[in-house]
Amino acid sequence: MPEPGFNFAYLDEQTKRSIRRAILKAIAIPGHQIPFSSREMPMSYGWGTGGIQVTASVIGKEDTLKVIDQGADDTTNAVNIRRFFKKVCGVKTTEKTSEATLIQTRHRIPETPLTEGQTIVYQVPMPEPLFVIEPSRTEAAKMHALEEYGSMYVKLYEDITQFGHIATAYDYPVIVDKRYLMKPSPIPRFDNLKMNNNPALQLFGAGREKRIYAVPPYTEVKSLDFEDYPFTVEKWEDKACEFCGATDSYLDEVVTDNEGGRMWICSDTDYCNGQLP
Amino acid sequence: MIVELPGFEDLIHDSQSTFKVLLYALSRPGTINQITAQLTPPRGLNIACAATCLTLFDLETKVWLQPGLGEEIKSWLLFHTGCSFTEDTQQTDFAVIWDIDNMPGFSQFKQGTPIYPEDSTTLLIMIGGQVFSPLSDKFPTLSGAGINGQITMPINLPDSFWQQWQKKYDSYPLGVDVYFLFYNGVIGLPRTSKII
Ligand SMILES: [Zn+2]
Repeated sequence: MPEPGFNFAYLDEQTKRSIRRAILKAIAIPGHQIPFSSREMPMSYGWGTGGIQVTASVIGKEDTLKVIDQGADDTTNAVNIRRFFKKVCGVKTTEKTSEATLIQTRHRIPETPLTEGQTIVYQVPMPEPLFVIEPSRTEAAKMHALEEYGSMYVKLYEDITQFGHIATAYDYPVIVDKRYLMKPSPIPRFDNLKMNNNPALQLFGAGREKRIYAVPPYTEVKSLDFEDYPFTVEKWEDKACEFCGATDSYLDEVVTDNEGGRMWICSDTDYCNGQLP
Repeated sequence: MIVELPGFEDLIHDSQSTFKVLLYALSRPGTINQITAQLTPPRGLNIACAATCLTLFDLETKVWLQPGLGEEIKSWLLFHTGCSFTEDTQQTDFAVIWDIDNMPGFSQFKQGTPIYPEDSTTLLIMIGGQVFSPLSDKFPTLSGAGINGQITMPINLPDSFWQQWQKKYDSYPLGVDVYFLFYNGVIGLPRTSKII
């Protein structure tokens, strides 16, 4: 049960209904950004209010919620959001990807493959992929309408030839369902491949920018690339996680002591724990 | 004074559970999904359609009712959702249809604009017994977003419906999205679904 004094999931029913209609349109037009009237939430914008509003509009009392921030369930951001939903919904929460029906995330996709029936909600700080070449939102909307993405490819190609490789580490742009250019939120490039043809429903909420977009299950998500520079992801050549030994997960270099000792460990703590014997 | 039939017994959770079904149905086109909320719909609406209306309609939505859906339905929807009604199919956010054989063509409804393709009509089409006709090879096979490979549409619809649907695909991302509603069942057909 939610704590008394709150509407279930905090938002009023009218707000939820309007966000729900936007989510359905987002599913019907994969990768296209739908404007919505973002509400004040009891946390500031940097805290993922877009994702929180999407989660609040989808969540039901039967759901089991997982919240991650950079792959970890125990950072301040993740803990606060999880506590918030526990308080206003009384739902079950979990740190296990496989047990969650609903996952809210900031900056990672879990390593454990998502399954049919699961929904993942991404917190998006900046939804417009064309912003780097076209700061006017009106002009960017026209470019999406005309599928005019040539200048985006040119910009990316220039970056690649300048560095000799793909230098964009996070929020690497994708084409969804062969039509819309989309920002996947600041996940590492490593996670881009997981978005493609994923059995789970992927929803994106940008609170400050007031946009919602979606990738339905089993939908093509293709990272932008070129014949001479195919898309590649980060590799940790000879490294394995120094906790669990995993060689297939995204590794973070973590400072472990005052002497500057460092370790490479899985960014996804649930995955890391699950690999231990 | 007219006493309206009640709407959802538990507004918050029945709306949420119905939305979850609509969400799943649209993101997995061609799958059959069950609404669990209980209610007594006014004569002429089935449970699935009534629950969908209560979940998605409000003061911000314009609704077109296919002729033949009577005053009882209109006043029930108005009472529970506050939606407004329009006679103009080109202006409507939702269209409630009970007679698929005599519905207006897709092009009669709002298709959205290149910048706002989402400003389009969602068709709520009630269907009856045809859903139970055995699968036959004349049922179209669909592919597209939300479909793992391909899926056979499990309902028997007029050929003219699919002919129009195929034509409409050329104008993507403009277009309409459809829910088929029967008893408490829902099948979604978003504009991305293609006949193969
Ligand atoms: Zn590990």
